[in-house]
Amino acid sequence: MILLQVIAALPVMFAVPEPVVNWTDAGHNALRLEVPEREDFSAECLKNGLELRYRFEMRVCRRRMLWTDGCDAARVQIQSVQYDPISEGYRVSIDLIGDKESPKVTHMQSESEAMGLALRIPSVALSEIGYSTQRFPAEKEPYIGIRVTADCKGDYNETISQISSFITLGLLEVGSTDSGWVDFRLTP
Amino acid sequence: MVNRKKRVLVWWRKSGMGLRLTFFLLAIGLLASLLALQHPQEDTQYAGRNLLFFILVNLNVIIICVLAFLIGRNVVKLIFDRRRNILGAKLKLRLAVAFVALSMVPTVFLFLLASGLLNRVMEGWFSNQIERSVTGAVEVARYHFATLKENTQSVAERIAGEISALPNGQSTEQLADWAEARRKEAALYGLRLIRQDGEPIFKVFNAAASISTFREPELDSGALQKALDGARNVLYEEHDASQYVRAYLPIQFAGQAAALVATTRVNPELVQALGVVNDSYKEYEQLKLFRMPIKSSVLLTLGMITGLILFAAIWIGFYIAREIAVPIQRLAEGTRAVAKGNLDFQIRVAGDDEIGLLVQLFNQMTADLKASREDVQQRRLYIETILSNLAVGVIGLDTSGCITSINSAAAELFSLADPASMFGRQWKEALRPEIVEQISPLLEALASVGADPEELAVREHELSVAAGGRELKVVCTLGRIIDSRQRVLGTVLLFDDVTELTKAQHMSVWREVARRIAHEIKNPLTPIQLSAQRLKRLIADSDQSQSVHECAQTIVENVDSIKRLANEFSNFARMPTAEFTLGNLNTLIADAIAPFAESHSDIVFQFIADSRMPELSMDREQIRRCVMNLVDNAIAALERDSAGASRAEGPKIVVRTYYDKRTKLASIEVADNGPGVPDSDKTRIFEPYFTTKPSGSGLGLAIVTSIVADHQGKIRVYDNKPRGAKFIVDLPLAPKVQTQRRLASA
Repeated sequence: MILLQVIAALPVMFAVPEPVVNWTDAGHNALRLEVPEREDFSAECLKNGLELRYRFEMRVCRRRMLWTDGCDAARVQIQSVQYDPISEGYRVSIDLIGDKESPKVTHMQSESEAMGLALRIPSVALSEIGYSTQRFPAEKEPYIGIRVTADCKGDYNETISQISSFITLGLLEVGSTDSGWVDFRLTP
Repeated sequence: MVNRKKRVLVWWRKSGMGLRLTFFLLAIGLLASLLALQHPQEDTQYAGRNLLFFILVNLNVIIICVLAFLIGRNVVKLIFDRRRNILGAKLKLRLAVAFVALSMVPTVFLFLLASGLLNRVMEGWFSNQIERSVTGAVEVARYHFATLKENTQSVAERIAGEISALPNGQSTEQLADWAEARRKEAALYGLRLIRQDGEPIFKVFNAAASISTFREPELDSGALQKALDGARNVLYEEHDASQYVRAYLPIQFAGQAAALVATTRVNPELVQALGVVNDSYKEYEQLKLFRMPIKSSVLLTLGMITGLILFAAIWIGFYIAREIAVPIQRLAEGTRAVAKGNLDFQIRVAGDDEIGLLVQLFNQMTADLKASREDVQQRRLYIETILSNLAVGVIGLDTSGCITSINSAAAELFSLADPASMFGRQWKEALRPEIVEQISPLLEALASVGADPEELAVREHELSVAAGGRELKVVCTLGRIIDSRQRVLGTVLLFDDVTELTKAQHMSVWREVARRIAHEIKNPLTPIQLSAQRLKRLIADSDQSQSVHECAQTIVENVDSIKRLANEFSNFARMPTAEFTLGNLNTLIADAIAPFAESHSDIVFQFIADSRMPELSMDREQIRRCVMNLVDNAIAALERDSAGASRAEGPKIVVRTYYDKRTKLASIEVADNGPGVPDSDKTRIFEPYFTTKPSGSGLGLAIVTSIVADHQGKIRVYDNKPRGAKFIVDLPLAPKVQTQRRLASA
């Protein structure tokens, strides 16, 4: 049964959310990051009380000719959405890892509004990512590496994903997607 | 006894790479699982967790595959062994099947029971009552929360109405005081009035809000803007561990649009209770979502455990079957080997149980059998050696008349060239017809007696056997071989060559006769002779003296002749005792034949001496006489040979000596090319008073025989080739016992 579920969900599983990155201003000082919503994935997750979590990773990298590109530590921000059956609304949590502050929690009545909040980061300053022209001159061809991982967390989901991994020899992860690192060039 | 540690080591060494690899992988898998349990990965470390999981998953699959392969291989091998009727395969198969069946029945039963129970329990989780309870709890919480929202909204609306009715020109402080009074009255946590530009007109809140942990959250900008735009909304907000219900209402204040925000803090206990209900509901929904996968995963785990138990049972079954069947197989192989005669077979099976004891006893039994067989072989060899060295011929027959044993003396007696080829043959086919004819009546008589212990089981009869051109006297003794249970196992025939003994007996008798005759004859001869001599003197002068003289002379001569004959008999009867001294035989013989060579120049004398001849213990005079008698006989035979002209060469006498180092016998051979000795005379010529010479006394060869007997030797006569006779005298180097004369001197 698990295998059938896994097989049935294969097209969905392998649909990777490709992040969309844009400059927020003409000065190219901040980025706007957005991930397209997979309604089937998010609806199924939220309907069953699971927490839909998006993990945004951003890092500055420089090109290197004869070696792997050098990248700084990534800025990680986790944005999650979960349906609250009592308030019949959606709880959106935004947590910047490493800022020593509590996650910012917002409750919304509308799913679309909640998803809209969770799927995007309106503005991230390049300085917050660790970029500076001194450290990353143009000749080093710096770029921003962006990766978005989405998963549907839950106690039992953890077990199911492990079982799916067991059956497929670790090749498949049920309930999670990974865009992989996407490069955003800073210099034309 | 092999201790357990050694057994484990022996088993580990013999277990083979497959089993070792299996155990190694199982150990790795267990270790990895334990490590994973001890160090649960953080949620952020996806890569590490996946890698570990990947490794564990693969290990599990590899282990299961290896186990399945090993067990499958064993099963296939067992089936093939069974079809080929390999020793021990049946027992192994039965034991393995028994173990598997014994373990499979309860395991499968437990699996079915557990899965059924699981199914029922899981279905129980989602029963209507549970569903209703959870849903009901959520409904209650939802209702309570909705009530809280309504209350907040209604309070906020009421306050908003009162604010709208306030007279203009109130100061900020007055407004704040008034708002505070209303806040307290309405038991609100916070109350704010926000202008269009977002600045607060007044902001009052509970004193606890001054504590950072209880501070109400910042206003929701979206909701505030909506309220300023004229839309009311009530939101649920949380900050840290506290939760609030906040109503955003549009209001007109001082002719301008504003927003009234009333905040109610949810009771922490209620928050906790709502949280519990919330969590329970979520958990229930997740459970519903993953009901089948969870059930399947648990069943899968149960199935894996069942499979592992079965695998383990099969493996243990094979192991125990092997532990039992292999020693039994070895025992069977050992029994076959022992039955085929291989008593060196030893079983190397280590064990301190009853099987091991059985193996030890088998090895002990084999060793004992080997020792017994060697003992039997030694005894047989001993008996064979005795039989082969017996002077008496022995032939053993089984109950069917087949020869089971025959010694060298019997083979020599019956001139059998290859005695070994006689084994297993019927005695009537093996022996010559003349012998069979003589023995058959004895065997039949013996057979008719049966196994009666009262009857004498021995028969004796004298046979005449022709061997080597001579006729021998053989006494045949037949005896039955009877075992302790009075069963006849066969017959043994003893053949004792008594020819020499008979000759000696005859010789003894003849000596006695000769002594008596000599004694009886000699006595009256003297007076007869004296009387004849007296008569001769008395009639010397008479006219009849010539006739009387002639008669008397005849009487005297005949008396002399009789006297000589009597002396000869007396000499024969009373041979002197042999006196043994060491001497050179070759020299003695040369001296003995020299006179004959000189006096018989028409005969060629040849003496071939063996240079290796050692000194012989002998009576020189008697041996000389012996040689002289033989040569004398040879000369007489050549002189009487009427067919001598047909010889290819002239008359010839060859005397030869040779020494046999092995038997330590010195032989003297006197051969002539005369007429030879007829076969019928070959045994008689050694008897006293047997002669073929016209003027012989017949005592020459008898005396030679007596001398040879005194020297514990033998004399034989053969036909010489191409013609003639050959006398061979065998003398030991040193006779053991000095010969004693049996007959007293006359």
